[in-house]
Amino acid sequence: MNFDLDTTRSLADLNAAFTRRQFFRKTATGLGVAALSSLLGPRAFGAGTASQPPVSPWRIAPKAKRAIYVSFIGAPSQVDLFDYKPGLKERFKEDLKDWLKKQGERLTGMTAGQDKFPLAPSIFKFEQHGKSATWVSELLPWHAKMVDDLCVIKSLHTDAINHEPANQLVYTGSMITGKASIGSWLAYGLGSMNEDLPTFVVLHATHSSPYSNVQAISSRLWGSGFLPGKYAGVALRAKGDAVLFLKDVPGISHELRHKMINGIARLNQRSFEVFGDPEIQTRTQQYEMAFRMQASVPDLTDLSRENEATYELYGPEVKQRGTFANSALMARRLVERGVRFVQIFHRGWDQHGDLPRDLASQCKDVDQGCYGLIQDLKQRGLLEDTLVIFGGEFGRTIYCQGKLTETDYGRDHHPRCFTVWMAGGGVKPGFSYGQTDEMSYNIVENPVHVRDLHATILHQLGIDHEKLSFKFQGLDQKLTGVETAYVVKDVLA
Amino acid sequence: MAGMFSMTRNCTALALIFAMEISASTSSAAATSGPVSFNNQIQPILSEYCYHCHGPDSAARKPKKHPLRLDREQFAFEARDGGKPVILKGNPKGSELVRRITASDDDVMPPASEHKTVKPEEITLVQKWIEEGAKYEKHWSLIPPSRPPVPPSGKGWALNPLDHFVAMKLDDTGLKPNPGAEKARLFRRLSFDLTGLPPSPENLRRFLADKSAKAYETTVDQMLASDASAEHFARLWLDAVRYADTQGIHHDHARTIWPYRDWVIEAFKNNKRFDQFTVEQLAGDMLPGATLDQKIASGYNRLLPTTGEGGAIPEEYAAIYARDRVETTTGVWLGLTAGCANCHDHKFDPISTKEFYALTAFFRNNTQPVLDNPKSGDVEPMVFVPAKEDRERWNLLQKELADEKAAIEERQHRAKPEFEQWVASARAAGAGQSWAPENNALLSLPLIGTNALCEGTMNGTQITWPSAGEFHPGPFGSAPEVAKGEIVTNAEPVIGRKSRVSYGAMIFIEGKPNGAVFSRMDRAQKYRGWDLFLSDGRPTVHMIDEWPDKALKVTAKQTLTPGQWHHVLTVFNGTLKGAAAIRLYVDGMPEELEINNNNLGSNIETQAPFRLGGRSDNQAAADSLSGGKVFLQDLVFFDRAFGPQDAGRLAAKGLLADFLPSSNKSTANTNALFKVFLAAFDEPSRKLQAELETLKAAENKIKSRGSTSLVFEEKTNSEPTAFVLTRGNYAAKGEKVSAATPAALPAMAAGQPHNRLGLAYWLVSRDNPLTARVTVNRLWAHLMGMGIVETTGDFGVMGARPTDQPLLDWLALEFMDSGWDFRRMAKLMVMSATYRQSEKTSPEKLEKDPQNKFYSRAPHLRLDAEEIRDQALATSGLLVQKLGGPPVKPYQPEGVWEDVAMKDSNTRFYKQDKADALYRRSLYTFWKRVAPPPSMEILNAPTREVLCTRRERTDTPLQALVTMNDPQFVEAARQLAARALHNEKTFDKRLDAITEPLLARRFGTSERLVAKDLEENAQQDYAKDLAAAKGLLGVGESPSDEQLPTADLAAWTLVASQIMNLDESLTK
Repeated sequence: MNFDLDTTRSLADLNAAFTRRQFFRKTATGLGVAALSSLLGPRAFGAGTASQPPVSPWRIAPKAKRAIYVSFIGAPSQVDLFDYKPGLKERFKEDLKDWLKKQGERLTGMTAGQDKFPLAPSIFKFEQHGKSATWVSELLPWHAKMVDDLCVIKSLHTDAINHEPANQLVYTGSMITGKASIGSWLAYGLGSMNEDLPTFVVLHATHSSPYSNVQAISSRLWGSGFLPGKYAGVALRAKGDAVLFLKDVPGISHELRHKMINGIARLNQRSFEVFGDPEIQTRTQQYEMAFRMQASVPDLTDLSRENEATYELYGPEVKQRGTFANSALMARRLVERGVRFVQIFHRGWDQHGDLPRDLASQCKDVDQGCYGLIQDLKQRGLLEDTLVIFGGEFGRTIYCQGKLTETDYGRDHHPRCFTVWMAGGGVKPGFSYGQTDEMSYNIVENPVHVRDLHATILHQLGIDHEKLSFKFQGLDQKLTGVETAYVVKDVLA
Repeated sequence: MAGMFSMTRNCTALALIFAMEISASTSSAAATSGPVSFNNQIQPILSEYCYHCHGPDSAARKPKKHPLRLDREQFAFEARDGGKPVILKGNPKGSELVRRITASDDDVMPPASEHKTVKPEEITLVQKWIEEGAKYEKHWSLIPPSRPPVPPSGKGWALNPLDHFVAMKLDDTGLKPNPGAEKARLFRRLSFDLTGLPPSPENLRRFLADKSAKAYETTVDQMLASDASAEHFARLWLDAVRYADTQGIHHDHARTIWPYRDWVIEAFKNNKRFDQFTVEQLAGDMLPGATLDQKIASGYNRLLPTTGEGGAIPEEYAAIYARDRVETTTGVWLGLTAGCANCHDHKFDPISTKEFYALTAFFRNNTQPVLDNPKSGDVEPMVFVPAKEDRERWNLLQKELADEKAAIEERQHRAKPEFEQWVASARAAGAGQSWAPENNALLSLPLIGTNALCEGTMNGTQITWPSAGEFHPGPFGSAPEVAKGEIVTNAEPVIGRKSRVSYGAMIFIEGKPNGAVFSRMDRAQKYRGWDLFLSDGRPTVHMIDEWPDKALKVTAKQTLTPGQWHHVLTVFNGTLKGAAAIRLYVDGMPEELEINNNNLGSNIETQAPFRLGGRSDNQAAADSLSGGKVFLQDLVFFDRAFGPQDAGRLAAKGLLADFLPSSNKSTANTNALFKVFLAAFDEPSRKLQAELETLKAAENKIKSRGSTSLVFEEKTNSEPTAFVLTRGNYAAKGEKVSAATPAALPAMAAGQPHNRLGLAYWLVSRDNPLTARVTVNRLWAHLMGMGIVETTGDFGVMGARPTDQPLLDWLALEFMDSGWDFRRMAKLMVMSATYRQSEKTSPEKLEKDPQNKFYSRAPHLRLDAEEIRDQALATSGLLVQKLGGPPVKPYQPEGVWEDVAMKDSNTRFYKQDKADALYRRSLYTFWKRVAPPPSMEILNAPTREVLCTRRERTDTPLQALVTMNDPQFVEAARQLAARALHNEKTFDKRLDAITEPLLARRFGTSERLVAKDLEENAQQDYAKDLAAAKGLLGVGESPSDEQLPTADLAAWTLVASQIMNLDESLTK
């Protein structure tokens, strides 16, 4: 072979004129440390030491250090869970058609063609629980035990009437595709609190009933949108590798992998000496971090050192990988290790028909897991600075979709009111907020828009939602968008 | 360490924050010398701090009472309440504007609520600008480019005009260009930039050996003319137009539009003029005499994410789609973020909401149903696309089919007199009995007369059974109604799984009957047996082993005409596979069938009796006839499968009889009989028909090899219009607007239609100041690492200013003058000395030009996701180079699709392909929008949900995990190692065989030691643990070279993987 390059000498030998030492001497005198970190650009945030953006004009005093968002995809029925409406039994089957017309209600393509809109009261029993005397449906017996830890907001409302745009609004602040998700905003705005795990982790919990109506979700709900890609959520998976490609392929021992990565570092160092691009060293660091992660993630997912009392909190399914209970425990382990934001997605809450059967199974999937999570956090002293949010993307109609019988009904999408509940992180425990009318149709007191919820979550985590912005397409993009959003001060402890 | 993990969802302006810092510092630096430039220095300040409330958006303009507007000269100097404008030319001290931005009280601008403070150096600039006369300029990108003179700078270095421009800027900054890159390294970068693939060692060797002056140019030409280059530039284009293989919303079903992708590849392969490339995509369907290719190109308009969600409101999505199409088109061609004007007048750029909606009108006048079919992503309008090798034959075939049909029609016309003669003679012969197939039916039930007992023959033996009671005049006499499941015989006739039989009768219906006309079927055995059935009057046949899982059921698409006698015949050939086993003839003509169940078991024989008008034990309501009456005559059962001619002759018998004066004459009957005559008796027609069948068979064969593709179609009965939607809300319709382009840009040429085609021509008109600039800038950014305008997708007021506008304008003019010759522009750029520099950097360069905006060095960039994977495939010899075709599904971790998919999505489960499909170039990988190929996504590929003109490049540990552990990369390392081991004997030569394809060089001495260290350690380990070695070699589906010692191959696999993971391998 007849290469022009002299193959007997290393690249470094060919470039003695420009060495690493020289580079750093020059930069130290010529540029200064601050300039160097900006040269490295946003990548530096991923590079280990600079865990927080250099300037955070949006920071305010935080009440919570971290958050867990439990997302019930498909929209749980508020009327059958928390928003108790007595006195509707007598109005069973009353046709709301004319009344609805007066409301100017948008109907989805699924019920717009119905000739009757019969009122379907919840068939589930409600009782008051705890010192707070909070009404809870019989579907959530474990929630009933912990109502005094919860802050229940019954007056959420949204702009979207179908799942895709509604989920985008709740989880990215806009119905338009391409925006940054809540978790990525938090990662961007707050930085990380740990060296070995992602800042924002996503868990997909399985649902047990084959009948549940399951909606699609997509990674845009935990993506970074216009923010740099490294702020996106990382899925901790229930199948295969917990983190994609984390486990070494067969036949590569820990020692060999270590040796290989050390070699990469040495060879990259030579490239750096030749080409002088500081990014070469950033790349080397990523390999070293990957190696560390290979040790830290298995430790995270190994539940064997949890004690029986903890297992009991979460219920019998906790040891089964991917169940809601298991995800809830994993969420605690993640925040315990310094993960900033954990989001659990549980799908199957879209009860257009067979609501009594399917809502019951959905509730059963999550009820004890939610209880376990809150109690576990409390017992470990983590609840006070961990904000936990539970909820879906909109509410459900009081009128029946499809056939209404004494024992069976379905409910369509309803954007005008829905219930979200929170715990810890400086929100009032044992507190209910907001009221809907006698049919859980319109809000009559203290409406809370989705963007107000966002403002409140950011506020508790120590961010002024007006100031947390990112320049994109010439605009200062914000999670709460262009319209005014309010921190819901009334629910803060 | 925030985000050491990184999943890129999107392609965004990576370094925006830093871009802002740097532009601010350059503007302050410039403040000291020369006159202030409005475009470069003042407008960025005004747009950052003022336009939000004093800019183009009329709704947001303040104060409400007397809004102030600063973005246009005519308004900025209007006298205000005090009688004076806010800017006094030449008098900064007296200007209210200056007072406000320097105020320390509540008067300060921007107000405290905006959380922004004008920096001191910016205030100085504004003051200086006012002092110099406060001259306004139109936004730079909206002024049409003119060709600047080529500057004299760069003597002795410059190789072509571009270099003179670059040299002038470098002179200004005091930087020197780098010397030329080392030859092999340049060749590798060139190969990635032009083809997306690493150079093969053979090509590299040839290039290095070629000492002629033309060596570089020759290789550039070769690369640009290669298929690989077409694929590479197509892939970049697919990012921009957000091409994917699924809908992207809700079900996220697969959609078939890959022929569009292949069209793009073909366009780059043929170096299609960029203006033509534009017009065909925007409006190929509207070109006069649009070709198939032009229609496929119009699929550009179908690339957007769409939905078939049950509750979706069509009007809402129609608005979303129109916005998306405008956003993408203006972003890709014009570099404008027009989408901002969806809800309000654009905050910074001269696009009002009204103008935005006038743009949406161009895309609203189309025939596509708003909501997709809930079951499929393939929604009309679509075209059929024959495979490439069938194209010519297909076109010919269409003509032959048309000719054949014309000939058949012609023959029909001529045959009329013969037909009449034939009928007359048939009448004379007596009901045409003699034409029927030989009268050897196994079962023959004439069903004539009004007796309480019916009569017939079975195997020649007389049989009788009770009649149902009602009668209707039939072709051969009075015909009984069948309704009660009368039993005719108990043991006959028998149909076995592999039997060939034909059975049928003359049938007359009233209403829309449902149920069996006759059958042998056993409910107790899950309906085992067979029948002739009616489904709301449509002839139906069941062949059942076990209902419904092991059964064959077909239904005719047409219903029988009530009140008219029809001949219905079933032909079952159990030796044929699937639904082909059944044919149904009505009046002697084969029926089009709907296949309801298609999974017949192994046994259909039953002991149940043969019944008329019912089935099984006739106890269940579903087993008897309902919904109308059925009369029957001349039922026959043959133990052979009839062909079309016999079917026709059999039908003719009944139809002729019905035609005779004794029964009801009808035109319908005459027509049916005429058809039978042509099909079964008229030799010329039969010959033509047979030819037609042959042609149709050929057509079907081509169809099975081809594909459909989504296309766009303009409505012809309406004009392109749209409503202004208040705040973007689909339900808040405002003024109705016609299709029009924004006023700030040159108008559409006179005579151009105000529709999509007109828009397409306008985009590439000579007057358009943006398209050529935006396109050459994107190409420049691809080759030089940084656009002349950094924000490749935003040439608006908030976008970056060009670092070298004369260069950009020169390139734009050259592009248009060359006849929009894309390849010529690419060649021009890579031929420049600027491109051919080495990528070495120095502290001085890093300090003066950290982002390399002045091109004093070549970029050192990480390869794109596709390039990284394709490099692994190419260097290991796994790459299967085949141009185009349906998307493929290579390795992917389990569960990625299921985690997010809906139950009834047809992309819920990932079914990995086999063999060659695993090793195609990455642009052919199936792109599911909701869950893109994970390795690609981790390596910063966009999701293809929104347009992407510039990919992000971040470094994360997740990327390291991909290139170390993704089976595709491990397998490639193994094959690369196997090649080295197979071809070379010594350690050094083997190492060369790995580094040459990956790095285009050999390792130096100290580098060799690092590789040797790993190889020796691994060798020792694997020699002790062969199972581990085998485990490593078992990754990936391609077989290992059996001749190679296991421990050697495993150790070298690790070495190959190590080198594949070097920065030098992953970058160009």
